[in-house]
Amino acid sequence: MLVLSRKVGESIKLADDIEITVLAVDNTRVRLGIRAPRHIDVRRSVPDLNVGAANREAAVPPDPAEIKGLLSKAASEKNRQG
Amino acid sequence: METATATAPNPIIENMRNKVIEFHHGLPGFPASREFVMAQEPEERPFAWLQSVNEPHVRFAVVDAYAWDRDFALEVDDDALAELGSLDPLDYAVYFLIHIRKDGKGTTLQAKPNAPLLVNVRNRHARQVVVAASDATKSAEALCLQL
Repeated sequence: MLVLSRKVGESIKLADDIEITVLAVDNTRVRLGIRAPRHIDVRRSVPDLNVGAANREAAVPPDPAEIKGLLSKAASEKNRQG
Repeated sequence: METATATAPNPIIENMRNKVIEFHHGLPGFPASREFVMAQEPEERPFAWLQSVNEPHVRFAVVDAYAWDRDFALEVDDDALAELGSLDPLDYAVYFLIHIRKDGKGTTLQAKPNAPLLVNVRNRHARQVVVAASDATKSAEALCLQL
């Protein structure tokens, strides 16, 4: 891993077209600005883990009585709202 | 992509009903579930159940992204599409997972637009894609359906 120190307002460049700027720093948090072409996938590494957590949260309890008719009800409500 | 209206018969769903949808990378949080089937009664459109074949206790409520949000747009890179077997947007259906919450006021369905499911309806290969937060940001109200 390459380790660099930058001051607020300074940036680093990756290849020709990616620029990462340090916008602000406080005790525990760094604010970064990232300029990159559209095809570069910029992600925090945390959200990928969160997708798993969000999926687990979305999984429906297996009790059929709980959810019987739920989606029909949702569909009529959604259609009513247009 | 074509927008399916909520009331019209949905040929995409008809094509997928009781057929296995394969998530080659699994579904995050459920690495053992790579195969799902979609179940939908006519009156449930545009909602449906996504049921894991591998883990029968795993089930999600989903909604057709374009029926939920007429302005929904999704940008996916060509490599991801190629992996699913087609570069033609018309070959794809997009679904949001739904969080179901119950409280004193009733039941709230909240669509999760930042990690939609992309399904090639021709070969039923699918993956969950992560959308940049700014693209997915909507007011909480726009994402919720109160029953």
